[in-house]
Amino acid sequence: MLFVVMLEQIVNGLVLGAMYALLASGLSLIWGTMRVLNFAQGEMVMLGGYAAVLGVGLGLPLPVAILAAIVVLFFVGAAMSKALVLPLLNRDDWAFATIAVTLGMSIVLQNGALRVFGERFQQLDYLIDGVAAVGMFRLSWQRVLILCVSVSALAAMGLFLKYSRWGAAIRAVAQDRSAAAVCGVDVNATFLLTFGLSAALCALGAGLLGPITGVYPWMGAPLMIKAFAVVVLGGLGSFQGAILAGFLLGILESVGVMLTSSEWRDVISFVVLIAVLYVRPWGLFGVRER
Amino acid sequence: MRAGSVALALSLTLGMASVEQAAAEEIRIGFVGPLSGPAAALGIQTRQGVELAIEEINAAGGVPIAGKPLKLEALFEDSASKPEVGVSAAQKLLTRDKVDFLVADTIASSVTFAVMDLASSFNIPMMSAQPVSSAISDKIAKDPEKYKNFWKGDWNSDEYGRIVFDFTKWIIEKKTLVPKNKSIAFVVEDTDYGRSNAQVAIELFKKEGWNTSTYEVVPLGYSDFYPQIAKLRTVAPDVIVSAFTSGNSGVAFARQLKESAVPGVVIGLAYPGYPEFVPQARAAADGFVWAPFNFDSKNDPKQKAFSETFRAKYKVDASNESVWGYCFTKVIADVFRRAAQKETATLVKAIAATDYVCDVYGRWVFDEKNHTAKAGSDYLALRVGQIWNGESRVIFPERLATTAYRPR
Repeated sequence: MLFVVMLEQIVNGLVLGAMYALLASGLSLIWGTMRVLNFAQGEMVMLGGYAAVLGVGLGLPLPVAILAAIVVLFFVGAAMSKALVLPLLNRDDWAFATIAVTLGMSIVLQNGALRVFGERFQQLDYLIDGVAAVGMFRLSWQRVLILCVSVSALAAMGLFLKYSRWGAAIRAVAQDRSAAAVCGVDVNATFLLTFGLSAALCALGAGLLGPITGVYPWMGAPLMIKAFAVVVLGGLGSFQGAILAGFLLGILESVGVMLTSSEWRDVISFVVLIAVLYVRPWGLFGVRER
Repeated sequence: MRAGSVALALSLTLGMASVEQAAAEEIRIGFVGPLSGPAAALGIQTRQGVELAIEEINAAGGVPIAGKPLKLEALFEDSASKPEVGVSAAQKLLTRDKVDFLVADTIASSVTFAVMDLASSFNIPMMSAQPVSSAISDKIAKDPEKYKNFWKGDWNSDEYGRIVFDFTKWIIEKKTLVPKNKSIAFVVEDTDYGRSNAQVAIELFKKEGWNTSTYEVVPLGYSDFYPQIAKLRTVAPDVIVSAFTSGNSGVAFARQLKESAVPGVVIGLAYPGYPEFVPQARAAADGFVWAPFNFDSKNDPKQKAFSETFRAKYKVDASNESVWGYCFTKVIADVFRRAAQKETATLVKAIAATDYVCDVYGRWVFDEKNHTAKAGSDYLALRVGQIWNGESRVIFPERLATTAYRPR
């Protein structure tokens, strides 16, 4: 029994980690390309959730509503970048200004959602009902789906970054913005693409997670605290680092609950984060700056 | 420049004068409660109940003060369930808005705990609305002089622990529960509400020889319960107690518990009473035992009528919080009516002498020792309900039951 439950906890950790990885990889992408910390990333999750709820309300089947939410959020992310972040990047105080504007955006979006959608949370249906039961091992199909879809989406994103023309542009801008511009890369368009992709990943996360957590104005906030921890643990700007650190943190948290108590869950994660940063201040997969 | 300064000073003076004038012509009640954050739904539902009561009282002519009927005005400030935000909000209501009566917090015990220390600095009556932590009453009882103007409008958290304990004992007596190893598990949110309710129950069960197989405290608004539920499967408790004030936590807990097929009696505190719980948890809500089931808009004729009035005004279903906000405001109006003036000492005397029946909820009488609303069958009575096929019915206390308890 104990072995089965421990196995369940590891799988639970992988599911949780997949979510962290999905959200943190977007954050990491933005930081790697633009050196901007997007504090409104959690609200992209929330907007993604509401977009899916609206889609379902309009009569779309849930999978189609989630796909529509992903497309909508891509444009919302790009528009937010264009309107609020890009104009600040040429200022001397751009680092602080971008933090302030994304933080402000986060507050505006949370309270705007409260005003528009109301204080009561909304629930999306499970994409697949039922439970996979093998002996004493039990896992809902929704969670199997979360794991499979998240891993596929992250793999697709990895392939996109590695093999596509736009992926090469993102990597070039991340490496050296000025040199990329000299070589003909449209830096501003790359920034918009990065923000858009990051928001789209959030919308996917919201569509998968919404049936479990519900959709409400503050749904993104707790996830983002963990996503920031994941980005730092994986190494700022490292896409692969964010994915692996996401899974690592998810497993640590789940197994930690089993071995200790829920109260120690965050303590365990952050002690590991501090320990890793003590040994490798640049994170697990980050690059040491000299 | 000089003219501008004069104009500014003049406008500020006029502004302050208009606040003073408004304060004299009406009864201003300040409410501090969560209007944002994970507990916003509860705060907003309470506010709606307050507004409905005030509308009715004012439509009936207001409250006579010194022979002159005055209208009630409610001023709301957001605490976001955070003590430091709640204290700032209370100070604004006290110093700038010059309220005659302060209610803080409408929901969160932790905010009340912080705000009540303002009671000795501002000479006006103050009261908490739905916070239940017994620590608030203990604080008052320890220093009655300091908190002479502070009162607690709801019962103490030990009532929840007691009702969980009494109900469990009753189903054992009725032989509908045969405990295998006398073990109880808790999954509660990291708020004073969650922790204090669990602690009281733990103590009561311990005295009867029960053991606490696991005690899991999760953050407010938490929704990924799989690790906690997997742990419940290993300890296989006879009774599982959960306490959340955040509705999404409750729905997530119920759905995930059903998926994991964890046996045992499941008792939920607070969340199963939220209007969105049953529609969103659906079949996962079946068999849930919960408290306090003090708002039954289907089977209680008076509460049904309230619910219809509420729905007509707000286009949403009423909840325990909305009816609570409604009755609580009527209690405050009754205090002003009996005091017939705004002077603090007189108002405090009137609070102490309160014996007000709000026919859609219960009877308010305060314990003079700890300034806390009394609970029990003659006062504010806690009821236990059970959900089957989407409908809650009272199952305990037996004399109030409308149906019998059925194991899950």
